[in-house]
Amino acid sequence: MNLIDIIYKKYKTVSIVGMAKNAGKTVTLNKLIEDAYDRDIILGITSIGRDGESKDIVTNTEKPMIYVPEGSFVATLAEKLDEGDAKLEIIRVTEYKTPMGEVVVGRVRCGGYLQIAGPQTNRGIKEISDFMLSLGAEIVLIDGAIDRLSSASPSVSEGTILATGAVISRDMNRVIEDTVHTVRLFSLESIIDINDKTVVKEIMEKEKIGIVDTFLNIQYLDIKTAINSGKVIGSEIKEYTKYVVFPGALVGKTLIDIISTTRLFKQVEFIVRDGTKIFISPKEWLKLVKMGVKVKVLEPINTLAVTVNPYSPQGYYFDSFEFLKKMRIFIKDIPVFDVMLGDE
Amino acid sequence: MSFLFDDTTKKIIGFNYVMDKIKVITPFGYQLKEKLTPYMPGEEDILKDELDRVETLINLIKNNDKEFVRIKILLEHFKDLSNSVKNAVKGSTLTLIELFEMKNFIFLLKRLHEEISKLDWDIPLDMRINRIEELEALLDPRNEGIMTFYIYEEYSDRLKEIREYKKKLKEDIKSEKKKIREKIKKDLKLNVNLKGEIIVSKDDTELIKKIGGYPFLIYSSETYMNIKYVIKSTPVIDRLEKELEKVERMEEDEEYNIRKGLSKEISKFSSDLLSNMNAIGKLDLTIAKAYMAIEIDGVKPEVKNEYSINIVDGRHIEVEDFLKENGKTFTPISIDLSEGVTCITGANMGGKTVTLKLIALLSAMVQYGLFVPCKRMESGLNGFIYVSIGDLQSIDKGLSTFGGEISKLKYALTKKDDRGLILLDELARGTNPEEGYAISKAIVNFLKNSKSITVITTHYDNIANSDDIVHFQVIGLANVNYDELREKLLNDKIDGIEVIGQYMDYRLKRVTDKSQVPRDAINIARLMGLNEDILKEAEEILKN
Repeated sequence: MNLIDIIYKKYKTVSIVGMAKNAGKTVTLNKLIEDAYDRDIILGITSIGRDGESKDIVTNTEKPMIYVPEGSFVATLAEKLDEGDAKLEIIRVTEYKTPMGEVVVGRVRCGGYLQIAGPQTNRGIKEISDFMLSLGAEIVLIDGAIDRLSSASPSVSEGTILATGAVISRDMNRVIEDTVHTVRLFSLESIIDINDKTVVKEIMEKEKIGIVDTFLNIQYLDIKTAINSGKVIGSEIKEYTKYVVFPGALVGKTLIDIISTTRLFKQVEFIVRDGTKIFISPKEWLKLVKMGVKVKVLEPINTLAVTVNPYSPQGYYFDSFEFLKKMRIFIKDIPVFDVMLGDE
Repeated sequence: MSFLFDDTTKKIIGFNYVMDKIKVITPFGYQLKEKLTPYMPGEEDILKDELDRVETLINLIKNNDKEFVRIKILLEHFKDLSNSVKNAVKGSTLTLIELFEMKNFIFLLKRLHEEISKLDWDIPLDMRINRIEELEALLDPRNEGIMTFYIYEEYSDRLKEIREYKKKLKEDIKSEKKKIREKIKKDLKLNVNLKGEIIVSKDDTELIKKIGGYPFLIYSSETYMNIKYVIKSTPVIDRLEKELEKVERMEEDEEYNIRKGLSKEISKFSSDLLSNMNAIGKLDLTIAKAYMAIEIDGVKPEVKNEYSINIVDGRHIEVEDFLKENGKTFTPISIDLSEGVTCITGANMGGKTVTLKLIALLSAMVQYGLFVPCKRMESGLNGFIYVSIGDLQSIDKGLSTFGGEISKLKYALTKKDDRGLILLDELARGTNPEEGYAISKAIVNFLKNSKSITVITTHYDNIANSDDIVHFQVIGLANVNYDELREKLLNDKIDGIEVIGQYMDYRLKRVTDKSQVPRDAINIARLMGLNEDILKEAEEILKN
């Protein structure tokens, strides 16, 4: 099975996000482009914001240009057009600006290498993806921002491919643990009840932490973010409290402070927008879950596949087969690929 | 001294607020709006023309709202290409993106022209959009009518030949490589990827050994675990690729030549392009003025040559919007002003300051060619508008309230015969009452025979106490039944100031009988519950 088979005819917008820099995100993207080319699938290719360097300053590895085949739709920067050798028909110069210039959408007239660059906002990405679909793209691939899982947000794409790799740790178990944790957070249970959902959405839009009781009354707390606010939240949890809604990030300390302040936390569900908003280590998370903390999301993330990269740019590497095999043992319901090795 | 004195004045009278309501869409409209200047005395006829244009547009918008929605959408897409045009004129070669933008501009012109043609409108010359059909044809050589751009083969036979040759070379390379690929697949059971690479695990020593002696693969790079091989070039592929490289360079050169030619062609139409940009700006700004007029329910002011100002039921837009947000309505104000001095008296909270702002704002709006929020307004043009209102003091200069006031006022006074509108709020309020009165009276006397229109608000009734000074008074609480009001205050236990605000009649009344001056300050103090003995004594003092 090819990676593309998981997507084709099922999902129209797919983001590729990396657990860390050099986790193999670009290799995964290349693989998808190749697969699509073999199958004559028309692609749209965009990315979420880029820091404007063709070299990754931190690890000094080359940020490769992407080979874009003829007929695909791409987002790039006007200033970067001459650097690659792909020939574009310009379709639109968008209003989206990056520090490096305006985002341009074009159709590839003659295949070649190109720097992919899209808008920096989720809304912008969504708009560009829809535009490419309207032009005739069958799938739009969204190259997520380096080291930013937030590109997996359901507000951007219908599905997500998570790239993970040896770069995360020299300890293979640690890599697997972190990956499993992320996949779990991505697939957290979402609120189903329509009325509850409406109330939660309302709170998210207000960008204030809100407490909802069983009659769906909202009480807003006047704290900007959840950081260091656990005690305040804890003291506001009452017998009838149903949800505590966090419009921003949720960190472990907040939950720990809440459970140390009130015993009522077990009846409460803590709600975040999606799994990318949770910043809690695997160990801490498991402890909290065991103690009875329930976290749900407004929008679940559809993780379509996990790709593994056994190499780290720091020079160490894992045994490909062992790494893949072990990862598959722990991630059962989602297909795992080693894009370096090729297809199954 | 500029027409509106300074930026603080613009802010205080609410002029900036009004300007923000003029929502231009295009960069050209924006530039024009930024550079907007008032029509000055002597330019009455041009101003009337401008107001007529706005009026025409208001009527067009009201009758063709859907068309105008489309026109606005088209306007949104225009970008400022004046730099590209200027560069082309200087002989620069436009980039692919610039040519794309140019094509968009040309096509948008065409569509805007079509949209406007649907309207029954004899559009003034300086707003007229002119299609440039020559450039439409130039940038759309295939006559496809779509807004994308590419260096089309239609531009040169040479480019066409180059591209055909390039395509053939690529196909030849592909088929050569395909042959090898198939051979590799057959010989080694390996799949070569799109980039012509094969990755082999180092564990597979047998395969590596095999590849080592294999003629069609060559080592490229390796990691700790894998080796990457690429298809080895054959002399045929080598030759083809060298040729392809050469052809690609030729293609670049030819594309450059074409871009250069296109740029030169475009530069020939620079004046058409630039005048269209100006026309779009003017059109955009005038449409924005018209939409604003509709939004504020404005009327066309009647511009006169003689110098006087007559406002019927004027509304101050910023204050009105503020009141609306708080569920209240603005009481329209009417006033007639002519050369010389007009005094407005009345209690605190009577809206005297708002009246001054309203006079300044509506007068400024007239001179910027805008419709005004009132039932009717007749006005001669002001040489300048000078406003001194409480919060204008230059505290940062360390001057006292009074000093700050005077330092600005003295400039205005030197211009008193330039038919300016001089609006003074609580003149000399920062000083002791006796001196304040004396100075105010002296300034009023100084201005009363000038060619300017002066309006002052004051507490000192005696300033207005002269036949050659027009005296208006805020009706205030004059017609209110005090007993009823006091009752209400006692019963409802609500904020007294709030209640007084509700009962306050902000309209102005011309005072002719000097003895009939109501004492709103004492009345308000009484309502707010000040000791009756004190109030009685105050009334005694007044009588004497």
